[in-house]
Amino acid sequence: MNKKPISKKNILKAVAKIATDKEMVRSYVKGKTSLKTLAQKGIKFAKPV
Amino acid sequence: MQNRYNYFFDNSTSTYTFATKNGFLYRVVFIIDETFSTISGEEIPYVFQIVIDKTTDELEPYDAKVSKTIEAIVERFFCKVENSLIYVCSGDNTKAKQRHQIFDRWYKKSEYQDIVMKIDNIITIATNNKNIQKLYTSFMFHKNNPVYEKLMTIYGRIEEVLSKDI
Repeated sequence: MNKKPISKKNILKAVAKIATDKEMVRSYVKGKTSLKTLAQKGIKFAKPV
Repeated sequence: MQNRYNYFFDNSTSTYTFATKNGFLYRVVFIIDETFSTISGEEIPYVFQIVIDKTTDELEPYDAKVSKTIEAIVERFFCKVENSLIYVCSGDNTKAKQRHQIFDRWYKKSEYQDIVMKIDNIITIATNNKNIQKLYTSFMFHKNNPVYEKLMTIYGRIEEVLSKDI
């Protein structure tokens, strides 16, 4: 693993994004947000199954 | 009789979808997660976040087939041993904790718990308006994942770094 330390601020930002991404996807599933909006936020759907 | 519902990948919504006997539609979404890459500073592929929800807010009577269907999807996900999964419960702390516990219960009752490992971390973060929010997180990976030690180290580092100065 890269030994370069990453700031707490950046980890916090990355973790917060997990939560906000989830809420945006939930909003999409309920028909309140478009796929285009998710894409603009950098949320990428996958088909791993 | 099958103990779960049939699901399919709906190309129009890019979700795995199934309908229940009560007429509820569930969507299971996998989104590419780049958190591990961000934290480690190197490309960590095959990490996904799973989001599961109904298309309506209406409450559904308990239906055991729902968890079995989700279990089937997750089991198939781990057919590729390199795949790993993040599940997050956030928002209202009581509900988040309950959802986290339900997910844990599904895992412990699943047929894949012997080959899929699950680690939990409750992460405390301050939001933009300085409120403290708890994220109930779970990280799952196949025991034969060739980089599982690296993944565990990165996941553990999240809580370790964020727990300082809180």
